Amino acid sequence: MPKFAPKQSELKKEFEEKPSLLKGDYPDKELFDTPVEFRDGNWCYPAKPEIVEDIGFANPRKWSPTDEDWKLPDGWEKTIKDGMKDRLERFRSFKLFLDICVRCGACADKCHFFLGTGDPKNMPVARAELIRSVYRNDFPLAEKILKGFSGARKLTPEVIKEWHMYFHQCTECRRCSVFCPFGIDTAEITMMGRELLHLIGVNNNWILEPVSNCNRTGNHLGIEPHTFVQNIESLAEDIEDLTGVTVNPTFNRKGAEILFITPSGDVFAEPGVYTMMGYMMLFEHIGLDYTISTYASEGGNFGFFTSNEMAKKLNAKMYHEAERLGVKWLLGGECGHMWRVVHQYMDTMNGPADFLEQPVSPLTGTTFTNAASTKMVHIVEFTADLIRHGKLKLDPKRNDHLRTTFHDSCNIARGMGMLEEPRYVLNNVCNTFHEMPENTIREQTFCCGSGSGINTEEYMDIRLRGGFPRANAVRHVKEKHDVDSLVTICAIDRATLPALMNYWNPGVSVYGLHELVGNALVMEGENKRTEDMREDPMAGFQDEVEDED
Amino acid sequence: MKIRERILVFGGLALFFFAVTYAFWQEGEAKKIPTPVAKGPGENCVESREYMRENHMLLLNKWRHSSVRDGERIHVTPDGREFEKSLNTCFECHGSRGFCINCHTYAGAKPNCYGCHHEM
Amino acid sequence: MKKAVMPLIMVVLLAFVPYVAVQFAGLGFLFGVIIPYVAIVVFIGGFIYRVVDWARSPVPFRIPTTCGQEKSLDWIKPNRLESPSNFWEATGRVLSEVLFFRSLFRNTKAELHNGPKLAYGSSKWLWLAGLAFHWSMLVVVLRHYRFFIAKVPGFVQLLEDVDGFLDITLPALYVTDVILLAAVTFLVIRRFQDVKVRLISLPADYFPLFMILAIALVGVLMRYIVKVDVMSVKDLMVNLVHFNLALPEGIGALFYVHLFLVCVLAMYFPFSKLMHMGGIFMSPTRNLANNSREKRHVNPWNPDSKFRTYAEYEDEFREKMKKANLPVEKK
Repeated sequence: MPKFAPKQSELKKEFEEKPSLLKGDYPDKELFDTPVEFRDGNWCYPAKPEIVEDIGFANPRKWSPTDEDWKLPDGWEKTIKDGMKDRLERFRSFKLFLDICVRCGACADKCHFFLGTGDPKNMPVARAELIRSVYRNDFPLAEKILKGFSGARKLTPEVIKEWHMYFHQCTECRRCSVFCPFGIDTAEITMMGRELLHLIGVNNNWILEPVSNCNRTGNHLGIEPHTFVQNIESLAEDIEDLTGVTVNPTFNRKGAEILFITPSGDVFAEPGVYTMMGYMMLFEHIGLDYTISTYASEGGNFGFFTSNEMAKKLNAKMYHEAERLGVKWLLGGECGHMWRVVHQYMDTMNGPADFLEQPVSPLTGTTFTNAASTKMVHIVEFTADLIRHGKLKLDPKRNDHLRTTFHDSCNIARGMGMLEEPRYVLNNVCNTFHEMPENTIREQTFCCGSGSGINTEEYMDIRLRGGFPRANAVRHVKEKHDVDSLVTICAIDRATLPALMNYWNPGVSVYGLHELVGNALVMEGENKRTEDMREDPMAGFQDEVEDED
Repeated sequence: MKIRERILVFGGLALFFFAVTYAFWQEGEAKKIPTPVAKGPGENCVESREYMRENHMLLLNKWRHSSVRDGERIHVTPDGREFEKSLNTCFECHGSRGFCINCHTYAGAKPNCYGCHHEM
Repeated sequence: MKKAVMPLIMVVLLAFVPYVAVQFAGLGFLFGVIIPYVAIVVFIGGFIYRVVDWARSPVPFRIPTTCGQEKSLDWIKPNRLESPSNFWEATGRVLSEVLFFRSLFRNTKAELHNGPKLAYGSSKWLWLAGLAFHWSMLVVVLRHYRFFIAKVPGFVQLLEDVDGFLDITLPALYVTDVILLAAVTFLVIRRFQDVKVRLISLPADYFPLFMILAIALVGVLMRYIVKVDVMSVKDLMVNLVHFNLALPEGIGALFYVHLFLVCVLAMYFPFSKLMHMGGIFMSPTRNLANNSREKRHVNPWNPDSKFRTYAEYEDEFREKMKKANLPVEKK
């Protein structure tokens, strides 16, 4: 059991016995009368001063959320208010969403953090009210006469503590936005909230350290070029051991047709590495002319969880490297927030990418018209097209040892709309796919509970609660269809869902979609396959081998 | 703002402005129709002028109900005058349907008497 | 409950003001002429100001919330309404929100059962009541044109006829009156009964509900029970829209209560959440096409950002890169 996880029996008891808003119990205190309480498991370590300094953010210092005094800089109130005014002028979304909420409550029980914690301030509407209440205080006279009429309040250190807590109990997953009659997107509010907090040095090391690393080494994990190469080459060796086929990834190669970029988690962390192996096997199988960059070696973008400026800065490397290498277009690996940025921000921030060509699949001739301007194609779109045109030799029986379900990652579902492609691929590489209940998938999918830069160990208590609705839906198909494999197309999912499954649904493992593609791929010159990439025996193939013996 | 957005925002606002001020652009003035005057045998109506102005429909409705359902065809006023419950009684002083129709048209209220009754 | 008391008192006081002022102080001209003019100016001016103010803040990124399949490969059917790929489809999406409350229709209710186990049920009451309320409100407002325009327009007459089709009571009962009152009552009760909504409700949420309820009740009272002289009322209104400042005699005080509450609501409108009427058209998560990779969206304030270039990167790692047989730009 992880150190910061609540005891399961206690958490279950809390769910079942503690009165909560979700069960219809009115709290004894009004929304803003409840103080924030930082305890083990519900706060992230603040950023180390040298890291804050390195990336040029404000107020580097040693502090902790559990401190009474957060050592906010002099005049922080003005910094926040000016920062807010500046953002109201730059983001219509922010201004509009603060103004037009009618508090109808449609969003209230849609947030996974509310469902998992029962904390009233985790209702999306309440989360926005945290900022709205300060924003409204622009009419102090009206508020004096009609005290409490529009819920305005003063900006105090207590408010900042509240912001810090609740803008890190939002994973910017946008589920509330699906249900809001005005499309109010709490992700926009949270992004602004976090930007404001960074102005006064209220931060989270788990986000800022990767940002600093990514800036220097090209990837979140801070892996230097030689190590990056070594690691991928060792994965190539694993592929050779497993299948007998040699794959030869190239690095920083000029003149390649395609630059492939994936989250660095796929290169270094289990179970992401198996997905990486899947990509490489696929590219080998189709003879793709691609290269991997050690400089633009990160698909993800933790800068996106700090400020728009930082997101742009980290993202700029993709086009910069593509131009230097002279590739025709970009192919992106499986990742959630990476694709939110690539799909909705990259071209605006760092385009136009005139030096690239409109992506065309070299195998099928399909022109990706939907990526005509950004010139970056999602690997799942690419693979779906290959399968559709019969370019892959697949044996889905090779995944018969798994019983699968599919987790839509929030950003892919609600920030991109890619819902059918992964299902098409999954259905072509395995025979056992079962959907989770309809209110928990596609555009209504539940977050893993750890997105947007909070997937850190010391935050486990909150993560396990926030992931509860997702885990609950998985348990449903586990009980009903014996599902034991949760397939995702997101690196953060692959990093965080294993812990969530271990806690709530032991026995369910987490897979990347292209790991299953790799399992099913019948490659030229391969050895007889009896094991999947994790060296788990494939069902039905082991016996044959024994017979032959 | 981009051009298209400008067109949409200001076009939308113009539409809003027009919808809200729609009445301001319409022709016609207040009460250019003459107040109908009663001519006839009686000095006074069934009830006072003010009462009739606001409530005549209620009285007529009551008349219809009591005469048709209960067969009570005579209305007795508090000061003892008697009237037959009939539109014809009205028309004795107030002339014809024309008496009703001017005001009803102006107020946009359709009387439902003439669905069954015909003008004298 | 406490949060509902203040707005309730406010509405009651506001209703008394014109009653007393007209009945006992003879301030008919103030309440019948001056305040209505002020109200309409504040309403229109304020509304336009707010919308223009929103429009002045740019939309830096194209951020539609996709609630359906994107347009991608030819053989995958896109969801044109929930993931629009061009301007016209996005327009359709906005209209489906404005006219039919599309997103609210999705509403579900989460329940926590023992296990612990979460279950989600369909919950369309809010959608139904919301839709019923807004549409009735629209019809009621349009019907009122008969008081402002000397020659009642055909569409108003048509609305009257359709709305009164039941032909019960005298004058004929309007269906929208009943629906409006029922829906607003539901919305008020819901704010009390659903603890989640009760917790987030502010006095500013009860105030407009109580105002609308009061306005509708007084209106209904005037139409069906305590009659006012419709001819004089219409004279006043037609006078007003033709800038003829004459106040007809003999309009009942109840009418002034109705009119004053409407004026207050109109003046309150631009400075309140009621601006969602204009805002819904401008929501960037709904009114933009999901074609960000196909067509570049321009951010007018796109900041210059100094990122770490490849050259800087190579300068730091050149030796290590050479050792790993990575190609380098400078030897």
